[in-house]
Amino acid sequence: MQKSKARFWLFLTPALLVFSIIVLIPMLMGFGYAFTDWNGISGSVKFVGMQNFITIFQDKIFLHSFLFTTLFTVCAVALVNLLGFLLALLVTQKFPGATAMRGIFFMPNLIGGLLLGFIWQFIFTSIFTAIGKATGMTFLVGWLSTTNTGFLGLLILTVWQLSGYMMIIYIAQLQQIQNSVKEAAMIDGANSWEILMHITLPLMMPAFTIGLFMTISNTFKMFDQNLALTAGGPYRSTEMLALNIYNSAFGANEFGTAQAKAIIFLIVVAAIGVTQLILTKRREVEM
Amino acid sequence: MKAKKVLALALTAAISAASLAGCAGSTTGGSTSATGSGAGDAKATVNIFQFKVEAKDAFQKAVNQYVSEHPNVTINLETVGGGDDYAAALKTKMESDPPTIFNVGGPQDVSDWSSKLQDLSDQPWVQHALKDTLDDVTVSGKIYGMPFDLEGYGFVINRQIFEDAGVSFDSMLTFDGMKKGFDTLKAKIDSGAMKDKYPNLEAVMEYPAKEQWVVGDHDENPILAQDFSSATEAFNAKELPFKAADAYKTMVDFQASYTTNAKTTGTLNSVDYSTCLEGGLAIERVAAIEQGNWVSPSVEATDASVLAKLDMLPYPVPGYSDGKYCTGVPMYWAVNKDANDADKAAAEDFLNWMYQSDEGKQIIINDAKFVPAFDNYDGLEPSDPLGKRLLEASKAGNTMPGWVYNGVPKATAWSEKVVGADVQKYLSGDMTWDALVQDAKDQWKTMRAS
Repeated sequence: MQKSKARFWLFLTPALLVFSIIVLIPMLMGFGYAFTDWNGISGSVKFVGMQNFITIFQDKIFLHSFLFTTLFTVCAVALVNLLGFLLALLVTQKFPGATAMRGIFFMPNLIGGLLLGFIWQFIFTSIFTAIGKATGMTFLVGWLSTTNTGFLGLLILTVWQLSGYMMIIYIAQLQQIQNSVKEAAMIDGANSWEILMHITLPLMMPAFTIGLFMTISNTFKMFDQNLALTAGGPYRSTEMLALNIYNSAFGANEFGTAQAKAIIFLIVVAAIGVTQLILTKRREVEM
Repeated sequence: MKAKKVLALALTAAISAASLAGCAGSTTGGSTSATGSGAGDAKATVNIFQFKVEAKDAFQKAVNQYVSEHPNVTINLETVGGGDDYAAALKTKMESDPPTIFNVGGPQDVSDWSSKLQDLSDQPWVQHALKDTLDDVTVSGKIYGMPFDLEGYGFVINRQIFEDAGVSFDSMLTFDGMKKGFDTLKAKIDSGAMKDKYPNLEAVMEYPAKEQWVVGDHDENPILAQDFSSATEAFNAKELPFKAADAYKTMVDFQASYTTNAKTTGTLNSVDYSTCLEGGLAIERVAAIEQGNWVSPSVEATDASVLAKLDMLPYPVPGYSDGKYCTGVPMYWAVNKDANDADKAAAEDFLNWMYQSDEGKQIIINDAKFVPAFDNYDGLEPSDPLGKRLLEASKAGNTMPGWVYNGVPKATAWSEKVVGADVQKYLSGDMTWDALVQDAKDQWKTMRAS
């Protein structure tokens, strides 16, 4: 017993140390700065109490950014997981090229967010415009110049990037489901739709728990793609929370306010994540 | 089985490609160092952290030359580009690995970084700095920055296209003349008369409203210049008079109306800098853009024959001023006060050498292609037409301060994130001009107070 306890700490300490230095301690320092007027440069730091939090809730751009991010997360999470699951169903069927397709669908995920953002920016602004002008489909012209097309653009990019990753997770789970269960249902006279709804989906719940958690936190915290694709434009209307916080810290030199925003951000992300975990965990069934 | 191997190979290739691409993408700046060898005075190390990407090869050349003459000095040159990016990078750099030489923009930067700035008043170059160029880095008689160069903007035009349409350069030096000239060219483009000679030409202008530094910083600057005579004056103003706001509207409308999106101005919000420059002026798709002499290298890289046709018109402020170019010093060199004495001395000496020695001057003019902000560059002239025009205007006094926006509240937070964003709203029809003016004034007051 003694020995295993020593071993426990031996293995845990390095990780704990690193985690404390690069996550825990900066976070606690951040809590402190949230109550000051620090501009990120000067040596003078004044304590201002709750002032930063009051400022934030009067800041229309921050509130807009909050709503925008929430709406975006809802849409992106739904679409990414739906598409990821459908792709997983598709490529687990037996047909020539199924394995190659797995690789192809997964590939967007290997490209960094910044690069992706710039590639899609080119597609939306140059290629869409060219096609729109050539064919007379005017809705293809002027993408990313309005809030709606900016939103759609971000959504398309995110779905394109993340659904391949979710597909891999869902494939792994799909392959865990034993064929004997499905065969038994088939013998009992269930058609393939009924098998999907009553056998496959319930048994997929553990994967959905992970899939939802990852997509929710990834999309809510999205930064690179946002920065590269729209940079918040037009007129800061597609600025998501992470970018908004960055801009107030490094653009407007309001480090204190940015820290306060970051605390609210942390609380919200944690709350949503934990709630979702509890809800979906409850629905998981064992085979 | 074979398919799996192929897939594995493809994935490996993709991963390595992605990681390579990642490397290339994340390297916003290059870091190179040069060391002289041999014995000399006390050893000194100078770390330069600067923002002008366009001139980094020229600076590196200067560094190499300097260390070969001063073997006791080691100089590391690091470049991170862009306005906001540099400011953010400098903040973290100063915490982790403080540079000996860095850049400051104007009064806002000088005030933010005041605890790090070395007093440069006793430097030999000070007496040669052009009039007014040091005002924005002077605080209670002490000079904290050395000017990079003189830059200027107005309307960069393809002089040849206008002349082929029967419009002379000299006829467009006023707002009315410019409007007349632009209208003439527009009529000829619309009627197809320019098609044979300029097959790409589709509009008189392009207006990159996506760039808040264009619709904000640059387009608001001539307007602010009617209120304030320098960035410092703007920096000290509690409130914004904004008396020429109507001219601001005129110029925004004017520029939008000569683009292909004249009827759907909201679409301009997705037009960026490279679309107007490399994909516009440089390929003769448009004949004019609101920009400055810094576009020369990009135009030259796209099509050197186009650069020879370019010229620059002054930036008119209808009803307030005509025939004046916005000129000034966009950035200054600063020396870190906290560095040790040997390093500081070497840093000061290097800066002075780069701008005042004969070898340095050659590099500044021919490699960096700067218009110097010093009066002792006799016989050395900028080689591109825009730089020449600028120097001429500057000598004749046809200028107004071009970097007043460096003195606005919280720098770009007001000029870009408030005013630039509001102009975008105005173009897309989501905000009236009156609301914009009100918002600009209100935010000025609040941000100045906080």
